[in-house]
Amino acid sequence: MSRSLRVHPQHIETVRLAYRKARFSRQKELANELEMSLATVSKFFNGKPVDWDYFEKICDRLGLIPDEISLDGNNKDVSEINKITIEHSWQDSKPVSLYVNRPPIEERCFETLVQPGSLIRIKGSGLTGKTLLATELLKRALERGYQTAYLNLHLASDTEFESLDQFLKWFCLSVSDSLDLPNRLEDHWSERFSSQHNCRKYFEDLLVQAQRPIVLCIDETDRIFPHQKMAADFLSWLRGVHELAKIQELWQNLRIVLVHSTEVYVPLNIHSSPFNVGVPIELKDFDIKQVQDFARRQSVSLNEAEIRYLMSLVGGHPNLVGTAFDALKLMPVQSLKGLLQHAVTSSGIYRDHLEHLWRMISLHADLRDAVAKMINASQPVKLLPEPIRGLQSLGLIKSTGNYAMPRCELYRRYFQERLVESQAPAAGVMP
Amino acid sequence: MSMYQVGGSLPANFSRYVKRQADEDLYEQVKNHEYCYVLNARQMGKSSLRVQTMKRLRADGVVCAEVDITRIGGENSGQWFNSFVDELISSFKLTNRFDQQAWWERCDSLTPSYRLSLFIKEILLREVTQPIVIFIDEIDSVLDLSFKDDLFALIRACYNQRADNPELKRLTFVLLGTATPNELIRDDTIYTPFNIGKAIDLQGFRLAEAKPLAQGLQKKTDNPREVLRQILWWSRGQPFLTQKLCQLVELGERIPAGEEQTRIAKLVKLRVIRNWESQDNPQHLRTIRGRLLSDAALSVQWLTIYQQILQEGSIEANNSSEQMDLRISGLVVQREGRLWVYNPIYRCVFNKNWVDEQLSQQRPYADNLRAWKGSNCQDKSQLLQGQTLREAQTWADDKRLSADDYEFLNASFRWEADQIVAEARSEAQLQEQQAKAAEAKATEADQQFETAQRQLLQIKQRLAEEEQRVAKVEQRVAQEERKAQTAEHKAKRWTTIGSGAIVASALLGTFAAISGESANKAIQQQKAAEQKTKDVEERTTQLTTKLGEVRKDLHYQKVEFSNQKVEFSNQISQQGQQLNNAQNQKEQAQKQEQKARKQAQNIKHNLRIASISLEQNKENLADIWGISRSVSLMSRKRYTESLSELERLLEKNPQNNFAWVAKGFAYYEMEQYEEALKCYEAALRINLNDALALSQRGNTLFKLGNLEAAISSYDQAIKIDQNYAEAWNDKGVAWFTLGNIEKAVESYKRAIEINPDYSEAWYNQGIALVHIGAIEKAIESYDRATNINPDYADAWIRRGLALSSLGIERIDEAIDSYDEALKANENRFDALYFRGLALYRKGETQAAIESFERAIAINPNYASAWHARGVVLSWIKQYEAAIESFERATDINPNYADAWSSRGDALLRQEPTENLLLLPVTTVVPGNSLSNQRPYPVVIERPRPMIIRDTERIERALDSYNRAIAINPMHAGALYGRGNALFRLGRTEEAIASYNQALQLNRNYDRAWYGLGNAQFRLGLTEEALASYSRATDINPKYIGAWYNRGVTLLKLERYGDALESANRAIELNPEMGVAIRLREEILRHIGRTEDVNVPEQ
Repeated sequence: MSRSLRVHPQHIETVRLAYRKARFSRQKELANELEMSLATVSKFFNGKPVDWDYFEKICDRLGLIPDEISLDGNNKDVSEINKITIEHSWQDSKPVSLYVNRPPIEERCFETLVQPGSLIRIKGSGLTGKTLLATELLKRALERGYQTAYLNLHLASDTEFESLDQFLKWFCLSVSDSLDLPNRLEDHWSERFSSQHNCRKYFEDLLVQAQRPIVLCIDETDRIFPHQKMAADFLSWLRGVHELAKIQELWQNLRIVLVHSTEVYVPLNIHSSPFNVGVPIELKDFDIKQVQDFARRQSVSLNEAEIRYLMSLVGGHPNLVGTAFDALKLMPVQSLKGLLQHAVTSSGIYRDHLEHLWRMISLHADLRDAVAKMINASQPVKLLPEPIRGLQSLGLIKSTGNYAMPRCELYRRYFQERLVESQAPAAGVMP
Repeated sequence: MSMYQVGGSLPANFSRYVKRQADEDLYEQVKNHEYCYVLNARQMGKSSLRVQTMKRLRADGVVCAEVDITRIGGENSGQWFNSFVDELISSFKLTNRFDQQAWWERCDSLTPSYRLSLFIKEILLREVTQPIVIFIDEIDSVLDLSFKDDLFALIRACYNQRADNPELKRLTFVLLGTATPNELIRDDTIYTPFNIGKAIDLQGFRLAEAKPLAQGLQKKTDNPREVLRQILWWSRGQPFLTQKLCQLVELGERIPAGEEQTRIAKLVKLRVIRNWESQDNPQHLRTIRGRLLSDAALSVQWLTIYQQILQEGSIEANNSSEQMDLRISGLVVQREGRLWVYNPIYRCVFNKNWVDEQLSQQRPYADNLRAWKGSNCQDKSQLLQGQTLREAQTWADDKRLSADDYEFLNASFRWEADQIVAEARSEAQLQEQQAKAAEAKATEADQQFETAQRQLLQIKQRLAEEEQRVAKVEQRVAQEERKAQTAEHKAKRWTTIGSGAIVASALLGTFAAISGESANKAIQQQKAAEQKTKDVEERTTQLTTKLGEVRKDLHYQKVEFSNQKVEFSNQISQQGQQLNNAQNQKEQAQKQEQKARKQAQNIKHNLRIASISLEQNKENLADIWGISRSVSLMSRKRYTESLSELERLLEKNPQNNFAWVAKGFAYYEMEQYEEALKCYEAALRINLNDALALSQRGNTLFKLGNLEAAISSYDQAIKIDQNYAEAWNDKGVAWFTLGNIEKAVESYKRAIEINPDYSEAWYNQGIALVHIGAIEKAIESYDRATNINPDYADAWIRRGLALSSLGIERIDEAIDSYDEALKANENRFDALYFRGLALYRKGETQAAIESFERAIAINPNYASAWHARGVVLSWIKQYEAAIESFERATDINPNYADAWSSRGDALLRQEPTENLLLLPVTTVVPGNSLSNQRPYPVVIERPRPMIIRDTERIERALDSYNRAIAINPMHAGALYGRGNALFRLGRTEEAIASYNQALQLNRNYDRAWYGLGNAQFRLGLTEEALASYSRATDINPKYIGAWYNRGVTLLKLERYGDALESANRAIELNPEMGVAIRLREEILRHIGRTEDVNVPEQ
């Protein structure tokens, strides 16, 4: 009895096409919407076995017919089973030349990265280009002759979060895999010692093997926050090994980049928190100079007034700006004004993105209430920490402490209309 | 890159490290092999100090290792200590210096901490020959670990063993962390290393020390020294803030000469203080805030102390744990014996507004408190009441609050108490009014009832009169009828005579032909007769008419009467109904009156208590709060906490006698009676007239066994407060215990008089009454107790016992009573036990067993129930199960003589028909003349299918009896049983001795007499046997076996007449007793009354 299915190699392109048509900004959005892990979605697009339930759900969302594209999940090569590969999100990688610099952030990061035992924390709302920055840093590190490891916690399946031991094993394995070093878990994992200790020994071994600095980038660190006890243990561990660099040369070769989008709400003592040391980088939306630079790189010619007009609607939201540029490139005749005229409606260029956000907040009443509270206020409003985190990771808000406001005018107007719309039928039922 | 590092420890080669006094202190101490500890607030540079010191020590050839507790982790102490050891192995680079595999395997059987100890002594000190220092950082992280004491003990041991093992002198530990020594050192100071080590005082940067920091400022100022001075003014050398400010200057605008002070102030205000919550990166101020608000129990106190420091600039340091907590938070610092806010930045961030807001968030009544204080403690409307006050009390219960809080809460309590008293007063008045109204209503109802009753009586009288009248009329009718009947009868007779006369005259007429004269006469006679007939007929007609009239009259009268009767009966039923109503009303009114009275009384009672406690506490009003808190703790059985609370109160005011009483009460509850007594005496020294203290002292003396003193103490209490029902009751208990039941009953009566709803007093009275044999009265008393409190299981049980002591007729009531007890508390296994006994007496053996088993299910160690279960099982002949049950009882209580004895009985399978004598009978030869047959004895075995002579079993029974007798040499039942066992074993002489022992204890022991008789008979002591059997039958005339055996004995003695009587008695008691019938045949045969003998067939 087969409980898992996978996409037939012949149809990989079909499903990727369907994904592009669905116009998600990234796979994580699809995963969030279907309430499954990114690991699952990633497996799906890479033709790896996926649980039958999930397979159907994904097909359903992408308008695919499971029977036509599936292959029995159990018919897999032995070589494939043994090798755990962390897929680089294939659709996220953009041509490097398109990367928009945000001085002095890049320089500051890189300066830090070459310091022994350094730690960088990149924080920013959803869709601000955190991963792009991290990728850029890794690229530069590689050029300098460092080893690099990129780890996206969303690619860990739910089972990895069942115990600290399991998670740390996955962590170690993923890192050595990413470094193209052999799996030597068997040699280093002993019941005799604590998981943290085992993990430390494993890393010591990695550092010895590498013989040069290793840049370890942990993306989507937020994923572990809900598992509070485990998060506290893991993050303390990270802080602990960071401190080791102060007295042990070997550990000075480990450079850590932590990427997260929400406030850290794991109760941690400051002495055991990695979020209280190192260099913090807060990624904000583009300013006008950066948008101009972006336009130049995308070969979109807009004058300053036009850019200001664009930004009055979407601010410096890199993704929204990018979408506008893409549209302008495809339809050069269309003026920006024309393009944005219907932006807020369900026929505009942002419809898929906005629809996705709407679906996400519709799934969670507390998010919806928070949005409703926010869109009608001219000032930032005070919200509970949980919805703030949820909206932060969706990239929907700008926030300071417990106060938040919509990230851009587009969001405010869109949700104003949607919320009114969604309330209308309820009123209509009344006699 | 910045030249400064904000947060986290500095790398060893950090060039701008600021050396402080602590650097020298730690280095020197460690060089001298002293154990050291650095306990200080967060972000004071502890870890940097460690890193630097390690670097210096290494340069000196000292081998150092650092263990960061947060890094170790682990699911259990095994993994934890193993990881600790492994950290040391790699830190000291010992990985390949010994056979790890073998070493670990050897360690597997050792306790985790011992592995570490072994590692230090066997490996570390052997492999490393230089001086060794182990730094343990973040030591406060161990506070959460259950095995932290193991670690401390080990470190301590390493120090202590230096004398025996000089090698250990090479090893030094340095502990660093953020905790107060109090937190780390618990009660057992033996195990802690914190009193052998040297404390290293870590202070902020001084200007002279901070020179290295000036370097980075040069880019932005011409006068780095002045800028640094300004920075240090703001930070007071706090390392984190100093680094942060330096960095801000370094990354900021250039500072023109002369503007240092204003620029730095601006910088601090804009970049640190304003919006500090969002600017606080890396986290520093938020950590202080978090620590201040971390403990719901202590935060208010911390905040209040801090508030005081803020207001007064500084306060005197007293090393209290709260002050230590504040210091370890880093917020305040001790200088010259006083506590100060550490620096101006903290003072600006954690300012008055902030503290006020935090306090108001912490305290549920912050606004009220502020307003009340604002009104100079006058505005009573701000005080808490009712639910809010209860909530505040609950909230405050486990906290240490400020004086303001306590003052406010006390005032609230006082205010509430005043109000309660006032309310109770008006309530009592109201209730009294209601009682009066109810009384009036009751009187009215009473009158109505009487009127109705009178009316009914009148109607009944009239009805009786009418009935009499009707009876009279009926009588008359009867008379008339009789008259009429007589008349008719007469008339008939005359008619007959008349016709006779005619016949006669006809005959005469024939003769008249012969003689005319006589014919004439005849005709005359005939005429006269005819005339007479006519007359009679006429009268008859008249009478009939009259009768008809009378009848008619009677009919009318009857109709009238029946009409009247209907009316009367209607009236009667109406009146009856009215009467009923009146009765009901009367009862209701009475009930209401009673209720109202009771309520009024209760309220008066409460009022009295309230005013007494108010009165008593007038002087100590300020302590009401503390006392109520301690009492509330007591009610939750947290006596130790309660005691410390009270001690706190007494320390403040040793004259608070109520606190003394409460303290005494706590000790009393903790069963420390001597201590309790001291407290009560102390209370009485303050106020000799404290009735509560007196009565409590009585209770304590009672517990200490000094009953007379207890009674005199109660008497004193009663003298002060005549209506002190509890004291009366307790006095009763004391008298009862002394054996003076009369005085006890008297005391209870007084208690009940004062408070008719005092269920305990009723209950106690019941017990006393049972004691003097007034069972019915006792039952009444229990009834009252259970009426008042239907959940009073003890009273229900006692009631059941009293009822069952009245014999089998009341046993059902007893069972009901036990059932009620169980309803009140289903876990009362004793109730189940007594219930089982009652059921057994009723003969409901299965139900009884069930009841015992329920008792056992609740309390498996309830030996009595096991025993009783065994007895019932024996009764229904389930001997094996019974034996098991007895053995459970003796397992639980090896000194349970009854159980041992009963076990013996069950092993013997003793039955009432046991040991009937063998009967000498005549064989019957068919065809022979019976009268000539000489009797000769033939043994007829009596049927005993159950009995197999099982010597081993009887021996066991004998053992069992001997156990019982060893425990209780006066155990008649066991002595008797032992007699039976010995008898069965053929040890007849010993059996006789045992029976005699039993009989010495109980001359009326019928079965022992019987057994004795059997033994004597067996030894040929026939006369003695006869005497014994006779005693048995005298005592118990229904004792069949004794009658039978007596008969046999008499037969043997050839006293046939007496023998026959005995045999007849046995047959009378059991007409189907075969052996007895045969005995009678035999006796009759001897007497020769063959006609009574049934000839057996064949």
